[in-house]
Amino acid sequence: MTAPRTLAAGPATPSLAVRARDVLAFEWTKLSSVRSNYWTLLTAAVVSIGITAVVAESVAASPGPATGGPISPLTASFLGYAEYAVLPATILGALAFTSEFSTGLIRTTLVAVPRRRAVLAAKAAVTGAAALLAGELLAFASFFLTQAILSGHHRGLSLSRPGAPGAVLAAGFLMPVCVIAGLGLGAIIRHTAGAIAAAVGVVYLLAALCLFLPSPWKADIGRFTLAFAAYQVTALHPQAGLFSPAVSLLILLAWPTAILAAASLVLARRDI
Amino acid sequence: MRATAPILLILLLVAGFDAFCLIDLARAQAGQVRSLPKWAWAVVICASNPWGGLFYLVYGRLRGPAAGRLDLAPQTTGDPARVAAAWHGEVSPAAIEIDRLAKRFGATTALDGLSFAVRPGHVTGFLGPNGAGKTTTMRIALGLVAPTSGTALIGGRRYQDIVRPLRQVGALLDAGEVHSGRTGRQHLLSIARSNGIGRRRVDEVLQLTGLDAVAHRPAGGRFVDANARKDVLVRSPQASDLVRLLVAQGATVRPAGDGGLAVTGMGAPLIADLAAGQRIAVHELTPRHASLEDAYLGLTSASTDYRAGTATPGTAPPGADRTGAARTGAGS
Repeated sequence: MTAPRTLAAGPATPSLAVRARDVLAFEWTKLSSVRSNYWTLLTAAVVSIGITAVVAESVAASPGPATGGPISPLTASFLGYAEYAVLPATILGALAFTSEFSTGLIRTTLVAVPRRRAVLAAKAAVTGAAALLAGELLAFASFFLTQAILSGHHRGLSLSRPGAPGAVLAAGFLMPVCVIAGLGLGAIIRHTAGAIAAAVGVVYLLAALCLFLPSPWKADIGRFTLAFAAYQVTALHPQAGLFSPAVSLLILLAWPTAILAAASLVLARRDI
Repeated sequence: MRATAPILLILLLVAGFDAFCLIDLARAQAGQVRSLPKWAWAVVICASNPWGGLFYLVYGRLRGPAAGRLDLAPQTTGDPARVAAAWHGEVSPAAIEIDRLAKRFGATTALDGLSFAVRPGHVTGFLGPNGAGKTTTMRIALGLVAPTSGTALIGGRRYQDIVRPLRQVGALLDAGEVHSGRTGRQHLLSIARSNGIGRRRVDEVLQLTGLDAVAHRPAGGRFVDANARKDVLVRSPQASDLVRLLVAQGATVRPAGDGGLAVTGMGAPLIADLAAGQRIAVHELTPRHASLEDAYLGLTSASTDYRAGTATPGTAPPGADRTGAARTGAGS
């Protein structure tokens, strides 16, 4: 009979940094090894670039002054991206947790790493970083594509225009915000359909509901929603009555932070 | 001197409060009481006394397996001898120790004061009818489910407090709990990396278990059921003749422990026909699914004694123990 190795004689305790790297590698391996994630990102890219081109053509063809039209050339850059690329990314975020709950993989995960908050943090960090990269790439691609089409009609905008680089960076930031909101809701709700519905509600429907409110409330309540804040940070001329771009950026940060905090509380206490 | 007295009083109060916090923290660590979370105590200590906070952080870093964490008491409940052993850094004699474990899900009582200890070096079966609480017990032991009361310790610690637990505890609740979008190797690799285990070891284990050929295929329950390597267990007094015959017909034959042969690549009826044609007697012909349980039991059969609790060796047939051990692994 072989005596099992006692726990006291186990290997030396690794440092916090090493253990953080373990969990990050864990989540990265899981994220990068599911093929559907690549398809989701590819779909997001193709759809948003395609729609961006259509929007740019129609803005270019519409009569009106160069920058005073109904849609500014900067805002036009992000219509396709913000409305059609962010949605699949949000679903990707929600699936990061719900796919584990639906397959039971979450138990395997939490047996491997029993520190649940570490799992949540690592998942958010890895998925958020991937989304930030994808978001910035798409935001810059959308911007340059739109301006290339518009400049053919002498309405283009260069990146050196004050406010433009910030707006493009902020637009790219929109993707991790929505992905992490989806991820947190996935951890709380656990079921794919419910989590996607809730994430779409948070990202789109709350703002859409606010549009139906009477005038003073529309801006007063609407400015707290993700879509209104996203509009403010990506606009060349922010709307009066809403929050300033700086405060809107904080609103963008506050949503995923609050959802992650709620997810952390729920995940730590729940029986899996 | 008039100013000194209030300051001393305040310092005394602060010191007393800190001591209270630290004691409570230690008791919470030992699982004696449900207390505030560790970070809350850290905030309280830091706010009331910066020196106490510094002590907490430095001491935690020097001592604890987790940085910033006080690990004053490994275990302060239960058998006094065991407590003493734990304080001296010795491991408790039980590998798994379940103490007065209770779990209620709403109105349903899943566990009602279950206590047992699993000694190291024994394969221990864990049996019970459906709904007896076997799975709940194992989920509590693995930190997936919080008990309503009682403790479950593995090697004297809660599972959640073991750093890189997979290096010390092997656990499989349900082999189907994988994402079918990943290959078997990717699944294994992700889990290995979570505990700082490298790629080389992953490939080594895949090879060791004979799974390297299918490691690039999607993991998942359906795949396993549809394509699992099926084999037929055969027993025959003319084993060597039978092996020669079946191998000549293209089957793969390997020893299945206790004198049987596991035949892959050929159905039971065909084996029976071939054997009858060559007048080879066949005692047993059982189609079965090659499973992870079989692989595990096969791999460990040389290094472990199968014993059923207090039964003397020899009285219980080996098969009975195997079934018991397999049930523990499978849960249900």
